[in-house]
Amino acid sequence: MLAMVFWVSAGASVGAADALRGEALFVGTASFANGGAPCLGCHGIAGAGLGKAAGANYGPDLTALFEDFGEEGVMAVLEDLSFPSMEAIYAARPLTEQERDDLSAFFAEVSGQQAAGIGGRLTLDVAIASLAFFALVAMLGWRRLKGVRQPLVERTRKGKVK
Amino acid sequence: MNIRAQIATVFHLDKCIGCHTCSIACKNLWTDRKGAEYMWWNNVETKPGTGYPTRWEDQEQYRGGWERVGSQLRLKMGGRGGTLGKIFHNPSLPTMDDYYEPFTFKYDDLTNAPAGDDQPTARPVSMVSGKPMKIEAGPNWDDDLSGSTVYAANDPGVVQLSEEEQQQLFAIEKMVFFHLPRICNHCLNAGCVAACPSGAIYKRGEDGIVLVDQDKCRGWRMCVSGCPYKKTYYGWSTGKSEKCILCYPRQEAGEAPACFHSCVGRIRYLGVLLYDADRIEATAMQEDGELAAAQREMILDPFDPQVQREAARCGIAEEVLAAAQASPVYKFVKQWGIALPLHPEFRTLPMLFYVPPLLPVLSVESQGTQKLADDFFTTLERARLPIRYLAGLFAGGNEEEVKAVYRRLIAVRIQRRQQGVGDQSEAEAARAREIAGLSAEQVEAIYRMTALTSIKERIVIPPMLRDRAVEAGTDPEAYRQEMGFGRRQAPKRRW
Ligand code: SF4
Ligand code: SF4
Repeated sequence: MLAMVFWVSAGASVGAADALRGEALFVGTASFANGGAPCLGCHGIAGAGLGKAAGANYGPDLTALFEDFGEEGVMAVLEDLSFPSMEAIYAARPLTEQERDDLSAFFAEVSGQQAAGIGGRLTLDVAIASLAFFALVAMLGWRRLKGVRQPLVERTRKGKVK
Repeated sequence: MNIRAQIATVFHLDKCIGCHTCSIACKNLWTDRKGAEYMWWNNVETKPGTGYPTRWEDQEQYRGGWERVGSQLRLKMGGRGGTLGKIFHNPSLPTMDDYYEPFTFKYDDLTNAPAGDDQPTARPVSMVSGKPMKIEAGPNWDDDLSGSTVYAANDPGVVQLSEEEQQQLFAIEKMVFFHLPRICNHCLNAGCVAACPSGAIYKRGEDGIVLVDQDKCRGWRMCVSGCPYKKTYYGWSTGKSEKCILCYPRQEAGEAPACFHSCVGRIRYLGVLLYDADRIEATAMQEDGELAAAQREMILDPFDPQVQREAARCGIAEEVLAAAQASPVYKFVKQWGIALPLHPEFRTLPMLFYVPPLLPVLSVESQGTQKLADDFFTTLERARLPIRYLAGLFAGGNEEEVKAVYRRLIAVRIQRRQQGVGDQSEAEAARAREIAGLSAEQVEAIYRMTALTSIKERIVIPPMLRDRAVEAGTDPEAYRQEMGFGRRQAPKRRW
């Protein structure tokens, strides 16, 4: 549904670089014309709230990409595929010029934004999840192998036996 | 009718002297191995006492045996879903402490001690970890009422008695106990078989002996909680469960099981019974108090021509039928009605029957020799060991069932005293027989079977006819080469 909206809006403005369409391509709600994998498969963009996307940690975070390389640099990377791992994916499925423009516009938009402080929240989430897990295990094993003889002896020693 | 043969046994508790010879014979033969040190396929308990493992009779804790749920019989440990849910953490298993940590002593420290002023000692070491340990329990820790304030006082049967009865039981100079030897009951409705998720436990078709297939066992230990008598044991070295095999290799060679053969008190009787397998479920569904009688009802009369015809139709061999006719167990259980199953309310239909002990029951007054016939019933009511306690052990709480047995045992006693000692009148003996519902000849037969028989009369092993069972489907020569006791390959862990 979302993809449809993006696709329609992108279709309306062919030619001009469109950051919105770039984002759709980046996260994969719109697909690349030649079938390349969406960037989010390997890269996160913490500045756009995409830093915690699961598994998107194969490549570096791209928040500061535009700042570091500039428009020309970005376009060159996307066209020449100067990184070997990208080459393997996109050499046979190159990005179109329009797609490169859109992506570049998206990178320009997110550049300079503050990465949301997700580290702390992640730690908290993990802590809560592991606590819940341990609680479950403890609950399941609560009565596990409670001895019979030892408590008998202890009770008698304490004089609690009738 | 679906007639099957079952090797069944009777233990005459009045004769057990608590010597533990049976336990040792069994241990030397079968469980004297690493990982099996703590297994006592045969053990002898003192009653009142908590037994081995501690309080094994308490099924609220161990959840063994069956229970009735509506019109169905269900394992107390839960159905298939329950078993699956508990497969990695079964809270109803006994702990090592409830059995005991097997131990030995550093005897070398004794025998090789250098000459010196101190007495050398042999420290106890664990047979599991090999480290020095403090011995806190053993398989007979409460033997002969030792530690009775802990163990006898917490016997599940004693706990159910009234305050007054408990005091009476433990009053100084009136204290009373008896021995209860236990082996696997080779039950008709075995809880261990039903509980096994791997289908490794089976009941042999021709004689009803319950065995664990060591190749199929996966060590889930569900049989350990499924058996209400705690008579399957987990071997920590092989990772497989093991249990009493009723010495079937010995029986196949015509020999009595080792514990039977070695029994000093000659309390053990063995013989074959015929029963109707179609009636197992209906029998196990009876009320607690009816179970002992229902179980007796299920056993068929091998002298009845109709039973004989049906038995032949069901493939029971002539020789086995003849053995069933000579079976002392049939006499004790069915003809004389003086042997009862242990805890029939666990509903596994155990095939080991006990003649309850008379001596601890007889009233203390005048050493039990008072004129019994006139106040027969009051004598039982004044018994040293409350009848209620014995009914809890042998009749699912049905006191009438136990009293009927005692009336017969007392009749035997009075007739023998009249003949041997001469301090009872013939009229007294006749009246006792009448109350008990026994003829003079039956009383004589009970006396002979109890006191004077040879091993051949006490233990009547049917021909097991393994050859016939085998020849039906296999080449005997090939089979002979494959046969043997034990596993074909070493288990993955170790022996
Ligand atoms: S006594 Fe226990 S181990 Fe033996 S057959 Fe019965 S349920 Fe199985
Ligand atoms: S050997 Fe016989 S008399 Fe001795 S303890 Fe065992 S059952 Fe009792």
